[in-house]
Amino acid sequence: MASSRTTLMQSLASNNRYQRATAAIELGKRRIRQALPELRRLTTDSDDIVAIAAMYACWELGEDLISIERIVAALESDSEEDVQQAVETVGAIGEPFVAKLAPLLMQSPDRARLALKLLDEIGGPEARRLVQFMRSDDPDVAALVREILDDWEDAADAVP
Amino acid sequence: MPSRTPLTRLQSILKRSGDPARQAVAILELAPDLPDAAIDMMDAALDGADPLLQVAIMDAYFEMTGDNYHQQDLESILDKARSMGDDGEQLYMAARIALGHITGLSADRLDEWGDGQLEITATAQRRRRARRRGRPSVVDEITIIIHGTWAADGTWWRPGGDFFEFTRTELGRDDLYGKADQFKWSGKNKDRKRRQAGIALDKWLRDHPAREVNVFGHSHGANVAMLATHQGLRMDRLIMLSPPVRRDYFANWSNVGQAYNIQASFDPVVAIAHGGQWFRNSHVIEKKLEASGHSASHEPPVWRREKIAEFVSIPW
Repeated sequence: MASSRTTLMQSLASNNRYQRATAAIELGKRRIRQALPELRRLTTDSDDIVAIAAMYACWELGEDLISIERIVAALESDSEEDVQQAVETVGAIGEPFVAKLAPLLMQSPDRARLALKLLDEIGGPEARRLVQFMRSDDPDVAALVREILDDWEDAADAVP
Repeated sequence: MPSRTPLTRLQSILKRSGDPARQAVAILELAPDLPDAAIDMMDAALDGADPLLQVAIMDAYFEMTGDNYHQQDLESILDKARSMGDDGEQLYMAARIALGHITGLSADRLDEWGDGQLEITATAQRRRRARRRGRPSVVDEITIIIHGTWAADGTWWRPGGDFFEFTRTELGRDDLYGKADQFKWSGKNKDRKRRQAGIALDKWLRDHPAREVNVFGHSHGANVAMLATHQGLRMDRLIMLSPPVRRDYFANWSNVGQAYNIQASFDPVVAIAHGGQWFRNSHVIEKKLEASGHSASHEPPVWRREKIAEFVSIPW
């Protein structure tokens, strides 16, 4: 049975990081505005999983408090679940995330590759434009650009 | 003194230090005669080897199996060789030729990329190994682990990884597949990629036939396994570890002997993914763990503490 609003609000103060994060996501999905002040506070939580969950919830409630640096930190961590949490968040927000990724393309080759992989996940015309205009002397970055464009080409050719 | 078999000759070549080009040539010459048992040895030699030797091993692997498992690795080496300029010419040629074998590019077109005078070029355009005819041999049992989103480079599901070794030793699954062509998929967070992976898994298991098939799938890896059942793939047991449960990925249940769903108490990854935690149908036996987090369901300490092996009725 789904948790009540009160239970979810109380869960934001749990000692269990996963419970805090899950509650934040659920409150965002249910658009419970009453939770917004606490969710805003949690966007700066020291725990990436909690902070990213709160950012997602605030986004659902109409406030863009997303920190691309926190998302990148999670994606670059050794923790598979941190990575997956960040990837799912990017996927859930989708196209509005594209503009946030553009500055990463100008950073180190590793950052550029990360941004390209996320653009690949998001897809759509804006992401495609960024990937198409991406230029790099780094062979790994250039290869990834080609791979993504080829894959999108194949997808476009696929029988619906 | 006993005569040297192709396997012992390979062992000696791989142990040898010195000119990687000579080692590469020797491996390519040997490839048509190598038994399948050489694959593990070649796999172990890949890490940290000279790139030229890596190319030869990957080329020999394709020669032996007909599997394009190393295509992306070869493409990466090719890109790196290209960026090395003249210093990378030999590596470039070797990688190009190896890729040509995989992609079916004819040898005469290789002149587009070089003069073809290198020894390694001549050796690579070698006599071909007689391909095995007919169906691959059927084993009694096979158990596989399928990773989830953005986890293709992860370690826990590979030989040496904690869950792989736990499954093989503590759970007693000697049949857990861990050879170089272990099944993996892109791990991209896209519906299209999961469906492609489902088709690929069906094909992979047809190429590795077994009388009994057991599958562990983590996260969307479980959804890949369910999608494969729509291709006709039959599995005796499907153990789903923290899958985002979506109706559009439900299995063809008539092709699944018994399905299990193991979920953490609190899992923010499943919470944010489209879908839920529970199937709530008669086809799947479900367990909620006391542990939390998306990785908990493949952590050996959690398996021990929460007696998950007993839940999925191991030993099978």
